[in-house]
Amino acid sequence: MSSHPGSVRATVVVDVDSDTAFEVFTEEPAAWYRPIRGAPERDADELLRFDEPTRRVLRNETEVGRITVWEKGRRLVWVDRRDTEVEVRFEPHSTQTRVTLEHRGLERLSPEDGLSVVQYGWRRLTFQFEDYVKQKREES
Amino acid sequence: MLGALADPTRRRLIELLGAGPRRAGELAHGVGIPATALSRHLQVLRSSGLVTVEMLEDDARGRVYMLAPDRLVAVQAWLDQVQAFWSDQLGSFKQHAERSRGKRKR
Repeated sequence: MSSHPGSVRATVVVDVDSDTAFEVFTEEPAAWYRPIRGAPERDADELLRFDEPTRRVLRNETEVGRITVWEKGRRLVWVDRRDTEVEVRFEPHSTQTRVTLEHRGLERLSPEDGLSVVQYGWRRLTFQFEDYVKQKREES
Repeated sequence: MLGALADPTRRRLIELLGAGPRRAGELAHGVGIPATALSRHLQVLRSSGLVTVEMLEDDARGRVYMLAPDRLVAVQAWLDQVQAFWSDQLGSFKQHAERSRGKRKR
């Protein structure tokens, strides 16, 4: 659940240590970041990349965010072009790692019109949502 | 909220209404389902607070459906989408990390 309005949080426990989790998250998004199914042609094979030396987040080599915190094995924060912020924390959890992602400032995407936000959200995210619901059903 | 949005027909209805208010007939045509089925879906969407209906007195064709004007409801629905998006990405991340570097097979 969200910790304050305009933010969402997602958590997962991964069976690797926190240094490895951080490394896989930042160096191999091409292997885990899921392209948006049904997205327009140009986004179909979108590739996300975290470039530490230049502190940039790139999608298909276009800058889509600025990395503001890079604490290896602990914390990653970036701010996107719309000024929303994503923080990912990597916390040791026994021999595993709890990865918590918080996306903040989402209210900035809808200064005037919540309905347009719904449209925006549906266009971009309905495909993942479908998979998510399917997965939940299979789990239960 | 998530329950109301779990159905693909209802998600399509929300998409249609996102473009503006619609009459039942237009919605039924848009999603390609009979009026009786549409009525059930609209009822679920109305109970969840996502959709409201207004009677147009000067229009013989009557009721018009629209997304609920309550911005918080609309935004919450969207936040739920974003949350589901990131849960999905983290699930994929976990799968990849454990497959490629996992200490033990699950």
